[in-house]
Amino acid sequence: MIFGMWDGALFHIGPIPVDHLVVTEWVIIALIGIIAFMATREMQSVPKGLQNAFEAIIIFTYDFFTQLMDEEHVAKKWAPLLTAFFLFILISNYSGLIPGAAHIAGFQPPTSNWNVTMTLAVITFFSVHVAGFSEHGGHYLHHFVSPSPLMLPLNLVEEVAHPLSLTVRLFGNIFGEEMVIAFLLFMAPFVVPAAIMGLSLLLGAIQAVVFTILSASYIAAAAGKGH
Amino acid sequence: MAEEKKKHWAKAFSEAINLVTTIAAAVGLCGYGGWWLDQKYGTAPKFTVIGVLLGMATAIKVMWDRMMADQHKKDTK
Repeated sequence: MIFGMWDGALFHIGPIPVDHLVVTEWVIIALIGIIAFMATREMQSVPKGLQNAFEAIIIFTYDFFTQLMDEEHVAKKWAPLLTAFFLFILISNYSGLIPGAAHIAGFQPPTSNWNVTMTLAVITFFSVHVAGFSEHGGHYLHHFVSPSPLMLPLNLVEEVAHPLSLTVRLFGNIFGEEMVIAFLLFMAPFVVPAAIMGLSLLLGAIQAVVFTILSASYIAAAAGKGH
Repeated sequence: MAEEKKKHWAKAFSEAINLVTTIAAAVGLCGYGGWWLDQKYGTAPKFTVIGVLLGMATAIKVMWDRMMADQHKKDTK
């Protein structure tokens, strides 16, 4: 373990090493899946309980992304992915606040590792271009040489800078927060870390919102009428 | 109306953070790429300088695009 972070594989499935944070990711995915299954297993035309709550969340996210992305069909197409991003990042960020995080084997907050944040950013990167091609076809490539072919290198750097900034921002914030909490727990185990943990609740939500909104903005820009 | 303002606030906040980190990422990415090429071919500091300049040009382009998009929004209102 390196200063509050597990290093190396927890176990192997054949030749494939399984890291501590991968196990935590599986638990988070299973948690979201189980709640979603429970909410949708006995659907009724007059919703109540968990189904009601989920329907409210779905309607809110559709409205939110429709306003954010301007075009309703694009928002409806991409809202499931963006909502999944938000839920996964939010729960991952908050998992670091559960006692035992990064101390119990197999329990490592996923977003405190840049491999996870980069994977999410790469999914956004491909989603942006899929959205661009599906809305504009081959004409989408024109934006790489817009307003002039001389801008091609700058446009390419910008395309790579977007996922890099998504990766570094989410990883930096969550990793930094985990480090501060680990350091404070070591220096002053009582009361003092609580203040940072309270702040982490806010920062975790902000980072999840920022990642989701920016992914939505990139997709909307690629799919928008500007191209 | 209040809800719409809240959503605009969230979007503006995200775009402000995005602008800063994209500029930093562009300069960092190109600077590092240039430095890596210099290490590989022993040409220091040529590629590092070119990389940083390319990153800065991209940063200016990103800001320019942002300003033009805002201006376009204002004009169409």
